[in-house]
Amino acid sequence: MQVPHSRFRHPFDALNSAGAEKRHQLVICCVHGHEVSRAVCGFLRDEGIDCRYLVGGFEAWREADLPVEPIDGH
Amino acid sequence: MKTVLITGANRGLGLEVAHQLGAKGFHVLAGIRNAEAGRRAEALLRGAGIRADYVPLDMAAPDMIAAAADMIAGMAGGLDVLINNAAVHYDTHQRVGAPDFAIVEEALAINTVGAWRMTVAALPHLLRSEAPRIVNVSSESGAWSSMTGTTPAYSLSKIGLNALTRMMASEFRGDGILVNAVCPGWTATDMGGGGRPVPEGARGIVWAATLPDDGPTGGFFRDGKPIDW
Ligand SMILES: NC(=O)c1ccc[n+]([C@@H]2O[C@H](COP(=O)([O-])OP(=O)(O)OC[C@H]3O[C@@H](n4cnc5c(N)ncnc54)[C@H](OP(=O)(O)O)[C@@H]3O)[C@@H](O)[C@H]2O)c1
Repeated sequence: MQVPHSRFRHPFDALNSAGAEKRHQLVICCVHGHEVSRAVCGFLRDEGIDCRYLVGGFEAWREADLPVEPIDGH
Repeated sequence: MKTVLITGANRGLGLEVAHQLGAKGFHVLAGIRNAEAGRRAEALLRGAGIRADYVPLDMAAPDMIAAAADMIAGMAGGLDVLINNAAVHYDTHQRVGAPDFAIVEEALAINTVGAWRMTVAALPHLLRSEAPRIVNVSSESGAWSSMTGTTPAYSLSKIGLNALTRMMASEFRGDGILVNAVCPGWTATDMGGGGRPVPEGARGIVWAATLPDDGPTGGFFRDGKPIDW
């Protein structure tokens, strides 16, 4: 499951396709919301991308009873 | 578990090589000069299920190079593969007739002498490995056969690295260390500024890092195929 309308990316794919995201504002969400999303966010910011990460990650999102959907709409 | 030390492993080709070798089961020692970037790379690699440790390493600081070699031996118990990847100053704005010599000297210090120092520091550990490999990440800019007056600092640093590759291959042949120079091709990193996807550029480096015992030594390769010096 994932946050609705988000796109699922392997962290390394997210870094390697950074160039394509330059015009967007991004929020990065991982499972727990500390290390991986923070690291990806740091990389993307270095690439000049406007980027935040979701504190608490998908776990916190789900605990807050916010809506979820299957990964990438599948 | 085999171990690899990759210099400049926090972004670009170095980080992707860490990812690919980690996925092949290597314990990755990521040599990185900036502490925050180091922790970030370590978190990402570990997040991908890779055994990875960040090693503080500035290729312009000889003391750190020596310390890093000992640190990895302590952390990983040995070293099988060294990848001299860190580099600076792809100086497309310069011509050989009017260089900024501070840039020339820094390029040589990091790209060439830094890689040399790192190799010397790693050597005692590599000599204890059953399948030691050294990969010098070079560039066609450092090819004698197609040398022009552009990117003079970078080109000189890479032809120097190519020469070191030949010297090391010759010197270490009897010890079973395979030493090769690899050009990743034009790749879309900060340095490349465009080019092919990073995972594609990284593949030829991974190939040279995982050569079989009867693999080549003293060669210059792109995508696993020999190119002209
Ligand atoms: N991209 C291409 O088209 C291309 C083509 C031919 C050859 N190459 C070669 O491929 C290798 C990797 O390049 P890249 O494209 O991945 O470049 P890059 O994205 O600019 O990355 C260079 C890496 O080297 C590190 N580095 C630089 N100076 C250092 C120092 N003093 N100590 C420790 N680390 C240092 C950088 O760390 P910081 O983040 O701290 O700066 C960074 O991690 C280089 O040897 C380059 O010459 C690249």
